[in-house]
Amino acid sequence: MNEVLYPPILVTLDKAAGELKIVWKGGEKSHIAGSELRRYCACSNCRARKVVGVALVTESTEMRSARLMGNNALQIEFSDGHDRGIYPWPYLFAIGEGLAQEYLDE
Amino acid sequence: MLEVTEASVRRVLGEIGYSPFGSSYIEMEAIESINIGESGVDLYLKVGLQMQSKSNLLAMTLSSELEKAGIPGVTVHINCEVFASPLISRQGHLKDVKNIVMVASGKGGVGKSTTSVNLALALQAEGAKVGILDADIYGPSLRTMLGIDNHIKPELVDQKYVSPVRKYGLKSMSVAFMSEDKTPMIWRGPMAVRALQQLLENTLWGDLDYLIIDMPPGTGDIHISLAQKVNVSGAIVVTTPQEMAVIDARKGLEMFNKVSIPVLGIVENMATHRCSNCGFEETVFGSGGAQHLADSYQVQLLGTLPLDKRIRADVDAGSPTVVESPGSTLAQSYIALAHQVGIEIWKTNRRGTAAPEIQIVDSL
Repeated sequence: MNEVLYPPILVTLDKAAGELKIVWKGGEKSHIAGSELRRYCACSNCRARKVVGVALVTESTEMRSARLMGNNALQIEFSDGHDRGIYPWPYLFAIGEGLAQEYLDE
Repeated sequence: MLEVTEASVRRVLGEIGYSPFGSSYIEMEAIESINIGESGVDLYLKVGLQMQSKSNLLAMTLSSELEKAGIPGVTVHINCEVFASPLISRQGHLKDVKNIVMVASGKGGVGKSTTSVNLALALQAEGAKVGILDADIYGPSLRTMLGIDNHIKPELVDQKYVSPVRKYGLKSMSVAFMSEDKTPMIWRGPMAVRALQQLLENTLWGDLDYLIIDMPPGTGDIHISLAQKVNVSGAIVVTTPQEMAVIDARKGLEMFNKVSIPVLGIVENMATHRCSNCGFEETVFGSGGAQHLADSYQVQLLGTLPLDKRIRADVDAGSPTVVESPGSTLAQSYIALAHQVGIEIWKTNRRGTAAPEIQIVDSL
């Protein structure tokens, strides 16, 4: 894990803007839209859907809550109740940089 | 003779390379204040671990070291207080728990539970407030090891929470406290994880310096989930010197690295056996394995414990060695282990960055 970047100092879930704002340790900032997070949900169901090319069952991208998972990840709950996705810091950073697919391929 | 000023005392303390903490007093920021008065110097140290059996000795040694360096008449005052880990978010009933430490191993049967319980008691003997959670749901052993009678069940509070069972001053909790002795827990992974999380979060631990979690052996489902869900201050990996155990311990270390849990160090258990007949000391499981592992992962070898019949007999009888024969060399080796663990937690907490703050806002 990149010791310079992670963990973040502050994670703000802005419900009105539908956005997750992260201030990383070194001061870098990421703004990630809920739709991006939903698209790149890395839970086994969502991944399987992507593999077989089936669209998401629900398109809800509104985020309801976010909580810390252990020492290195964030769990996001969407308004349709989907909360299976756990986003480790490096993955969140990659999503913010638009490199989510590359991260998953790695 | 040196002129005695605060600066000169600090300089000399920096030059005394030796401190029981592995780095100098200055580096550890252990100096709280220095008062220079008419009658002498008062040096106040702030130490991030409990070390009752050693603090007077440390004060004396330090005073004499300072005298040798040209500053006589220093009275050393040691104030021990365990630092709270910045990594833990402390939700619910864990809010007054300063540190959570996982004791794990890759391989089973290396003496993880025995080490956990003796370590917990040793930390307590040195003055810390300690709790222990037996997370080994498939082979819980805490009841036997602490000699807690079968009819003793944890007390239910508000229909929702439980009070830990106290034995030898230690606050203990185990899944076995809730069930009958002979019934195994027939649970699949997710169920087991949920049960453990509840046990951890719904126990009224109160104010603790350390909460030790005795993990089940292996690096499976439960480990990953627990490591992900519970944020802990650090982990200790127990192994025997045997190559086979070391290979598995390596996997344990890798797992903790993956989930960003700091590894405090490795404990080498069953390192040597002294023949009770002739006194010959034999390395039954080989030697050097744990040291090598610690070196390659740049973690500390926290302690080396012997293979001794008494350690086994004491836990089987429900009175672990640290309480059964506190003066023995065996108990002393657990006390020494407790010091090392305390030091490493102190260091890790000093280095650690705080858990991120999470805000949820509705509008701007």
